[in-house]
Amino acid sequence: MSKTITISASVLSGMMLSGAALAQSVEFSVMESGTYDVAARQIADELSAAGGPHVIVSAFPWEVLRQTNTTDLISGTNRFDVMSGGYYLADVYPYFQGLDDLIARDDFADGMIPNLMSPGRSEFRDGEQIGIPYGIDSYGLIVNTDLLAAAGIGTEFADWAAVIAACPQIEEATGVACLSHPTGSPEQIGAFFFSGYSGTYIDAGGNYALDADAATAVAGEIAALWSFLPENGTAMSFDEAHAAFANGEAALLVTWPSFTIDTLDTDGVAAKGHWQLVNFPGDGFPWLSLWQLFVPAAVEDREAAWTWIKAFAGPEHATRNLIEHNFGSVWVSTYEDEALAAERAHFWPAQIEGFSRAKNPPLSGEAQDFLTNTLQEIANGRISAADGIAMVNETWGTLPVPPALLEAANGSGLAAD
Amino acid sequence: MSDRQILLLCLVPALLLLALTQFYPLAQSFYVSLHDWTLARSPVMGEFVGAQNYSRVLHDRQFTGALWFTLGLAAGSSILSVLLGFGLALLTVGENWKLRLSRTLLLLPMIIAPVAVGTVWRMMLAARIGPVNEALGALGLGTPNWLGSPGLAQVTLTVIDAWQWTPFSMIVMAAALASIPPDILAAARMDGAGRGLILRRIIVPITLPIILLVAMFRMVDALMTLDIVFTTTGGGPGFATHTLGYWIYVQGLRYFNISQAAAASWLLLALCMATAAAFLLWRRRIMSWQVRQ
Repeated sequence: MSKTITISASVLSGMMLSGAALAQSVEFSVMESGTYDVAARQIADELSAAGGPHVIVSAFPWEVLRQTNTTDLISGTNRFDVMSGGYYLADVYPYFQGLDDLIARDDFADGMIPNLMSPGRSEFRDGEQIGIPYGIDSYGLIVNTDLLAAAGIGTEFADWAAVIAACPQIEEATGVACLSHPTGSPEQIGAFFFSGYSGTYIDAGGNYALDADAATAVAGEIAALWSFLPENGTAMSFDEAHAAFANGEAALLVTWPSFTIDTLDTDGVAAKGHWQLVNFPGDGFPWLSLWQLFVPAAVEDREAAWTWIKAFAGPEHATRNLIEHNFGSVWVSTYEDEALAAERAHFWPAQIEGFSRAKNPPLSGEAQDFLTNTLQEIANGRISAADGIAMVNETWGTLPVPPALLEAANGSGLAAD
Repeated sequence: MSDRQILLLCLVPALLLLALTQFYPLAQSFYVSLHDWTLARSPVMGEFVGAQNYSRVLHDRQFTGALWFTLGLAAGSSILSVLLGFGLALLTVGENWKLRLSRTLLLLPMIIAPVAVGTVWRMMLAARIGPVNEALGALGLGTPNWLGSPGLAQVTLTVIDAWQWTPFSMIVMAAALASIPPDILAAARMDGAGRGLILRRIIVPITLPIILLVAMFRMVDALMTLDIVFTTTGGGPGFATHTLGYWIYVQGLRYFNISQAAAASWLLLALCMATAAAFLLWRRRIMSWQVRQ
């Protein structure tokens, strides 16, 4: 009898212990990039060693991550307690829970880049914050200072028209292509449009619509810019585009700076010591890449999820993440480090300026894909700029604007009054 | 219970399984296609809208563009793979070890996963750093923008698809060629017929029903192309290489417009069935004509 009681007690305590362990377990989905996922595993180990929840880091390539997250939410699988994503998850915002109470309780936003936790920059639903920023980048223009000097061209360009005007001179003086860009990733063409277009994306009736004249002018500029790509440069991968600039085969590079800055400063790279990040041209906005952490509405142990969010996205590891894993810090304190600022003087000023202006377009995945695919058609000469923009407006008229994006557009001045 | 009844009873589990795994999903997708349902907006199916999703899909410019490209790709790829398959079958028919080895090696493209095929070709055909253009450049030839130029990307995808599935045509046609009675060929040769005449008057007519069957399989398969597009061009540049399969994938699994994707899937199914029916009818006429001769 006593033996039975002992065994039962052992089993019961074992179940209670495993129950406690389960309650303190957090599964986190993140991009497999060799940066965010590596940092996540490092911080997860440290958190676990310090007695925090056990964090399972599940990493996927970007496209798979997007699909996995949305499928997990929509199918009700509820595998993940914390998800890594961005504004492109707008279609599934209703599946996330608001975090305002936790942010206020821990004064979490204190010390973050100003206005980063506001609509149009990070993610909201029904007026409540659902996304916690942890990694920032904004589209950049990187110039080869030697090549521009050889052509007698300055390093700052007010808009894309200025780039178009300078390109013939650059190509003639240097013999290399004026512009390199990852043209093979069709969505990336949006960076030129968002920065060149200063109109609104949603009309007064709450429907997607572009100012046709302004949008047509920018689309025409993009088509003109495509003529300054390297030979056969209309389907370049990120690596190809970056290599063309790093090898001195192109004078300008339009890309996500965090993807290439480390490489450009590597010994043996032709561009090392001859490049600079400059202010992104245009009256619109530089495209913002803001990785955020989301907690699905189905998650019950939100305290465990929040503990992980604070550990991974908080200021404690931000500078280390930047130095060791090259992801942009969202904390002001990182940029106040004088030694780092001196070391990064050739790109930090423009990068910080970009962070202050950068936004996300208030577009659902479908609306954005249609715009960028059409811009590709225009750039490749398959359709005129005017016809292409008319086609965008016609199709956009049939697409619903998710309420969260209407809210974001109103907050960031991208919707008509 | 008679033997026949027992046999029919034995079929019941298989029929039930078939109904569950094949007909139920089909019926459900048809039901979904008649309703308004975007999964991102709601996990619950919306109201009945009749044929509205079908009408919307058929009036979508990108869908009709994808339809024309898919038809072009399917026709081009089928013609290429049937002609090349027939040629290779003629060259490799026989039973010595060299011919058997050749047939085995030629089968390789077919047994590689299409996703891997697309990825390998994307790297091979990268216009600036790919080995194909490096080789062409070294020979002093032009270096085309295989995947970056809209028109050429369409042709390139057609050729890749044909490359992968030519072995299928070859292996079926090799079997058809091997089944031609040797006596007929020997008699033709004794009558003084040359290779060209034997090919035109004996081999092609006898194997024509098989050729049409292969063409039907290839055509239907190519109408559903998705994986190669996904891994080589992602449907681009712009909308240039959107196939019907890719359009359905994007609508259903990227934008979660599940009812429109279901409607488009039924339209694709109808297209595949019409194509198969046309080929089978053509084959039957040919066979009837052959019998009359």
